[in-house]
Amino acid sequence: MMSEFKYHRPENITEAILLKRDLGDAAAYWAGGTDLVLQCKSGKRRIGHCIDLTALQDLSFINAAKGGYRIGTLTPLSELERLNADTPHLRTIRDVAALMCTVQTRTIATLGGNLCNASPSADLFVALAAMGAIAQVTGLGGTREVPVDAFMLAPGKTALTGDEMLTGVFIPAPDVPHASAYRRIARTVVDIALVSAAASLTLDRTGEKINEARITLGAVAPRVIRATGAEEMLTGRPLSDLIGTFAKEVGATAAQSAKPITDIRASAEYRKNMVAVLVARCLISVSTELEAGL
Amino acid sequence: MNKVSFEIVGKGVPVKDANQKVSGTLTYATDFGVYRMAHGRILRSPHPYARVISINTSKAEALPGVIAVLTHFDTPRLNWEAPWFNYRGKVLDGIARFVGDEVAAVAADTVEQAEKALSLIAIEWEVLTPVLTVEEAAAKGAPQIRDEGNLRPSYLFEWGNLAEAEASADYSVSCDIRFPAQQYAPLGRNACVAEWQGDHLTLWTGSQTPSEVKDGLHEALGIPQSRITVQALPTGSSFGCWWTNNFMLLTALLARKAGRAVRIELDNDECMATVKRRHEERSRARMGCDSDGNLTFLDMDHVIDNGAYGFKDDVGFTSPDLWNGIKNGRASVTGINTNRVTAGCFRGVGDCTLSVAVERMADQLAEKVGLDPVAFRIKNQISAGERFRSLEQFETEALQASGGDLLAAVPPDLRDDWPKLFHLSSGSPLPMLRDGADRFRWNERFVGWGRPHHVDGPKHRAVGVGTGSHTCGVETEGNSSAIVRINPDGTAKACCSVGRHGNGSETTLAQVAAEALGLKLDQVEVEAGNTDACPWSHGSIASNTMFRTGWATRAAALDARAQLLAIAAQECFDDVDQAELDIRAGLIGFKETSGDNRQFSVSDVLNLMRGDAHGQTSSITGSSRQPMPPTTTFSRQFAVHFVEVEVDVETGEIRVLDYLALQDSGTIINPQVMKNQVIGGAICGLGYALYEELLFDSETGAVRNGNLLDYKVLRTGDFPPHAKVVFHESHDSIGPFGARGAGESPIAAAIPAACQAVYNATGVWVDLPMTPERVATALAKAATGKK
Repeated sequence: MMSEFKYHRPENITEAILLKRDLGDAAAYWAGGTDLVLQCKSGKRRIGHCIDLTALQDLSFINAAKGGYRIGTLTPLSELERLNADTPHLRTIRDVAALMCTVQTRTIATLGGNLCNASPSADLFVALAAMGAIAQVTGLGGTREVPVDAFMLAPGKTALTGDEMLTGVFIPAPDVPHASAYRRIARTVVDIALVSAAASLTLDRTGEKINEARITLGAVAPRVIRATGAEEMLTGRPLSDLIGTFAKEVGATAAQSAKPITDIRASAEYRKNMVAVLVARCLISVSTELEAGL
Repeated sequence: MNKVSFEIVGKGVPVKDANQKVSGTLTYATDFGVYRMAHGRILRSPHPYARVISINTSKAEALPGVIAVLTHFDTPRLNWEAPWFNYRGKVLDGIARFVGDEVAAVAADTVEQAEKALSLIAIEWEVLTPVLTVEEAAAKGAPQIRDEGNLRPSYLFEWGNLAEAEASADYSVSCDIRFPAQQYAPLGRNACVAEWQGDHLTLWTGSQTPSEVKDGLHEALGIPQSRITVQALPTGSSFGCWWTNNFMLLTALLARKAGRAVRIELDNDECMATVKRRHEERSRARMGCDSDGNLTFLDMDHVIDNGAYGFKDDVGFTSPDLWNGIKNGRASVTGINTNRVTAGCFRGVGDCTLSVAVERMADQLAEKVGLDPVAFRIKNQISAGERFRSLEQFETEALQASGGDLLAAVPPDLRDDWPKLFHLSSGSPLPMLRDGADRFRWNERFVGWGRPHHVDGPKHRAVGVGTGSHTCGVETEGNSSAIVRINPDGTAKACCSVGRHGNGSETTLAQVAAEALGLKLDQVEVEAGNTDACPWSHGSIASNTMFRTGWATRAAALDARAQLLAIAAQECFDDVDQAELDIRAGLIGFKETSGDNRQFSVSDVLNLMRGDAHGQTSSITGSSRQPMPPTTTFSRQFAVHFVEVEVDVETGEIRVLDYLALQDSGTIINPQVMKNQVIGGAICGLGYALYEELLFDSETGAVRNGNLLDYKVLRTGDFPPHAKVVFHESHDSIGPFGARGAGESPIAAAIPAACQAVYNATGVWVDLPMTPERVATALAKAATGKK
């Protein structure tokens, strides 16, 4: 049963941050509320104050920016899902958003909410971390940047301090060939990831050599993690190496980075085995896209 | 069989409450309330098995807003039973038998006050050692958790000569399969409102068994049935969940103590983990055939976990009837109680478990013999007219009980119309197997046992076929009755106690009544939930609704029609023989047009009577006056399902690509309603095959996944949108306009079809549910075994 709380509706970012600073841990930001309501109803979380951010509609946007794209924290998943062919770079984000929850819930759930809820199985988190996205963290003194892969500290815990707010993410789009992919294992069409992986590759100007590889894993550790060993295997290698068994070898190495647990959704062993499969599939998908794009 | 044409029956008219449903204006149980009602909440046990030593309610009672606290000191020491032993126990008895069991209840002005008061009830518990599995419960020296003991006497039936058949079988296979507990996962919660006027109780709740709710109140409260009115309200879905449930009786007792109407609404957790579920079951069996693939024997021991208050000693087992080729057999079913949430009947009870075991063994035998699954079924399954081999013992017992001639006691005018008892009267899976194989391009897509017909990397595609059957209602707890009233304005109401749980009976039974009366469909409405209006009928259970209650509805309508025509003949048609008259679209006239084209509307006739001071009646009440024959001895419904799946052999994920469902339920009263019923059954069956499984805590037996995040039901998006449904309408000589039951065979056919398709895609039989992890593990194990 829901406990009683005080409701606040700030008109601007500063007002919101001041409220959060003054009210402390008893206060929770409300973006779409799709996770928060369930947590409160189940008694897992008790809040004394709800800071409703829905008046800050200028934080709902998807804009091209220098060297990439900016997406506002209050952008609903349904807007991400509607991204079109004009932004091929954000195709992975679009595909991931379409996988999440239900059509109805996607109209209220937000990008920022998904990141700040800090679930190790959060689909968008895994994809954005692989894409090298940067979280825009606004405090009273200005905005600082935190790489998304460092934004989650533990389940439900982020790098935000008591007087900060996530205002958006920047997704870099370098002017050299690059692509990304996300894969997950889920049960029915409406589910959270039992285990997930994302990969992004950035090539050199010739489009033949892998300059940077980022591989991220979901639901296999207390936070979304990077598979650095696997990334190292890829860096500096020719893209063409991914044809053949190499992708599977990289996947197997990525599985070594996974530290999953057994719970009612899946066993640790299955999760670990699936990391290898999913990473390999992400890499094949990315390399196929890059080959096609050349 | 000649296809008779009907005016209203057979038309896919929209359900009568469609607009209300889609516009959100239909009053479900959770939408209902009465003036000045209080709100109740239930205190539930944290222990799987414990006795209340003392219970102190003074702090709870002192809380502002609290009106009454009900404990086991306030409740009658009476056992009540739900139909077919789906529940046996007292409303409260001071002993908790599962985590979540009801211990006390509070009524207060608000839900919040009631909820708060629960936390102020102080209980001293004597914690007892629970039994959490059937194995523990059956062990020697196990704690006995019920007065009657943990074990029900085994239900046993035998036919033919098992020992001989076993010795001479050319092939035999065995199995030991555990079936998970499925949750009804009802869409929509349930609520109950109880109000006493003096010593008369009125109770509103979502139920598919209004008459049985009245029975349960009578038994549990010890009050006369004449002082009970039940108004069953629509439920979101039910499938066996909302019959008579203990929380309804608790609401009635709480209202009596509070001296005010009380409403209790269950929350999602309570719906998922404290009411009811499918039994967890285990089949250990052997089956054999000769070298031509003719089945020779079945030997099965089956155990069901009744949970705390289920009391069943059998689950439906019509599979040996379907596989009538099994010439010799023996099957035992044993019900065992455990300290887990109550288990009971769930859509396709038995069909989804022991019949699935039979289908798997049949498939394994077919592979050994080298026959395709369609051919093997055609060889061994039943056709109309055949004698049910597995009912041999019941036939003998029935004959002995009746002194050798079972029909002697039945009046001759009835008996003439009865089909041959203990023989299948109509329908068969065989024509559907042939037709379905053709439509599904089976011969192209089935390329051999354990072989996919299409492989793209790790994605293996294969097809499977499964069959299912079920009874069409059951007569053993009483014949179902119905009443049809013709109002002075010429409209009619059919009163049929079957509830409204999304199966469209408020429309399909109206179609039956309208067809029989000769009225237009919009002149006939159905009251399906009020026990003052409706005579006793089994609820919408055991696929009873259309067959048995529908039969009673038609009989009542014909009775009303005959009364009306008698009056019309006398008053309007110069005393002609009423047999010369007919009612068409609400108008009474001569059957044969012989120049006399006089017509009177039904309301004209009744108004004539009304205007006559000596008129005998102003409205007409028709009722079903004759018993329906014992239909379990001759009627069955059949389903044949074909499915194509794609299995990812690396991840274990399964996608359903293509689906064809064939259904033989006799005449289809409303093809639209029936199509939904069949597809719904297929989705529910595939859900059980692929994902659905209640998980229980190993220490406490508490449900661990009582939510829809981790209890996965299939969504429409998981089911192929182009799935097809085909009806084979083999006319039934008894059922209303040739209809039989339909609700439960579809789920039964879906499960084995999926299991077989996965086997054909991977070469491995996977136990239920075939989750990605379970499939991947089974494949890895098989691969290791091969090395």
